[in-house]
Amino acid sequence: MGETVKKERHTKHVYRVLIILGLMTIVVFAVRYVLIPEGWGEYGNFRTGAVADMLEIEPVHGRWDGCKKCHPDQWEAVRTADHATLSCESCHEPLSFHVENGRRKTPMPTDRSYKLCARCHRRIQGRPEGFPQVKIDDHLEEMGGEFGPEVCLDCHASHAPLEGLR
Amino acid sequence: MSRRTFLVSALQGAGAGAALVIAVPVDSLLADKGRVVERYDWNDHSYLFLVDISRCIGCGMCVKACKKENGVPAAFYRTWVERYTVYDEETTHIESPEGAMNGFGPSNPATGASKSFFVPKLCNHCKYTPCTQVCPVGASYTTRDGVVMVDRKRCIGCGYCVQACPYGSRYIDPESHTADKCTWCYHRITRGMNPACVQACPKGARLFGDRMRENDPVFEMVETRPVRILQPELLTKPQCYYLGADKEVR
Ligand code: HEC
Ligand code: HEC
Ligand code: HEC
Ligand code: HEC
Repeated sequence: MGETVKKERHTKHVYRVLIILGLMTIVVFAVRYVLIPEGWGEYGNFRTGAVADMLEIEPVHGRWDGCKKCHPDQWEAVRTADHATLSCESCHEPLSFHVENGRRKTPMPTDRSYKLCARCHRRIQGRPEGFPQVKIDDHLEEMGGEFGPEVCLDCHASHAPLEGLR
Repeated sequence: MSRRTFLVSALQGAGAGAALVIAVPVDSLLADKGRVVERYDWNDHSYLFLVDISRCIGCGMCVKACKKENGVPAAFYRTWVERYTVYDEETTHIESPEGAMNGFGPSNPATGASKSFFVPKLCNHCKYTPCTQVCPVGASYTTRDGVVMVDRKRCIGCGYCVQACPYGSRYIDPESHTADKCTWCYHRITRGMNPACVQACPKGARLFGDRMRENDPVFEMVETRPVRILQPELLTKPQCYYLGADKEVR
């Protein structure tokens, strides 16, 4: 009689331990589930979806020749003259502003101000000596120009700045 | 089942399992993850950047393009251009008005300089980068193709990485309150385009290359020309190389 009582007591202990262990396992997995996001650690210490997020961003600026298809004349004019290395979007706006799904969405703005030319061509300290640059006041005086906000375009065509000087 | 047959079949099973693991391509990025990005495999690329200081005219078109491409908030920069003015061995003046977003204005530094030049700066995408090491939540990481990026959904904005970066390339976005930085325009380069700053540069002072592309001209320049990296003593192994950089540049 006394023997069976003893046995029952022991099984109780085992059950308790098993229940506590089980609960702890559940807690560990629950915490893991909450803390570790989907796709974690597949390629390193980060979430794989983070890379996918970056890949899904749509470019704002177009490809280098993104304007060529629709503006072949301007493309040809720029690429065969002194401004051949300039991106069209430097003086206009990014492609996505102007074109959507292969069609014109918004008129393309154009920066006509002398400040745009001055960014690259004003003579300032630090600019490499070989690069064509002018002191604007002196240049206008020498060429006989009247200063105004779009003065450079009075004489220079921005697509081919040394051709057909006016 | 005798012990012997059990052991034999267990070994056979393990062998078959190992063969299966080897046969499955582990790295076809994201293709099997439900987030379709089959157009790009990051194992085929290893990027590097080259800045040719002698060509930079300081127009800041790169900064403007970067701002527009990435929607960088006002007063923060993922790339910027500095003007170094060296007077003598002790005195060097460095300036970068608005990161050169609008170029450099007509006001020149004081006269008497012995040399002056522009230095475009951006994240160096270090191989052994301190910024990802300090991140407590694994929001900063390096991709297989060598780009250091931030997981904005995971970042808690603690700013450790901003402090850890010796090149000052990171900032906390004032709207999302997460760290942000140059990604080499990851969304562009994975589509075979150049980063926005590289495309905007009118003098080819910024060049983007890929070691794994055959006859890559940029990689070839890095291999054959006297290039240097910034702050090599930190042993971070930058992937951004500088050609024609003065000893003052850091
Ligand atoms: C140096 C700055 C500059 C660059 C670079 C530039 N443009 Fe222009 N573009 C202008 C200006 C300024 C005008 C306005 C001309 C005018 O009204 O006289 C203009 C006008 C245009 C027009 C309107 C039609 C016309 O010819 O007047 C088109 C189309 C155009 N550009 C396309 C391009 C394309 C394509 C490229 C790249 C190959 C390009 N532009 C590069 C400054 C630039
Ligand atoms: C999908 C075709 C398409 C592409 C690509 C395209 N354009 Fe246009 N663009 C047009 C059309 C259509 C017009 C309006 C008709 C016209 O003037 O020829 C236009 C007009 C312009 C104008 C005159 C102002 C205006 O909007 O009426 C400029 C400047 C211009 N484009 C510049 C660019 C530049 C720079 C790019 C490259 C970044 C570019 N375009 C790419 C279709 C295109
Ligand atoms: C993004 C910078 C940039 C802008 C903006 C720019 N240019 Fe240029 N320009 C250049 C580059 C680059 C060259 C090629 C010269 C070289 O690299 O040696 C050049 C060449 C020229 C030349 C020929 C100089 C020579 O002797 O060969 C003239 C003239 C000129 N630009 C005028 C202008 C005018 C006018 C504007 C404003 C409408 C303008 N540029 C805007 C970068 C620029
Ligand atoms: C009144 C006409 C006129 C105006 C206005 C004008 N230019 Fe010129 N520019 C010229 C002529 C003509 C030349 C060619 C000079 C030569 O070939 O020696 C020239 C040459 C240049 C050159 C090349 C200089 C070199 O050393 O190779 C640059 C750069 C230039 N201009 C920039 C500008 C800028 C920027 C503006 C606006 C602030 C401007 N120009 C306004 C007439 C003008």
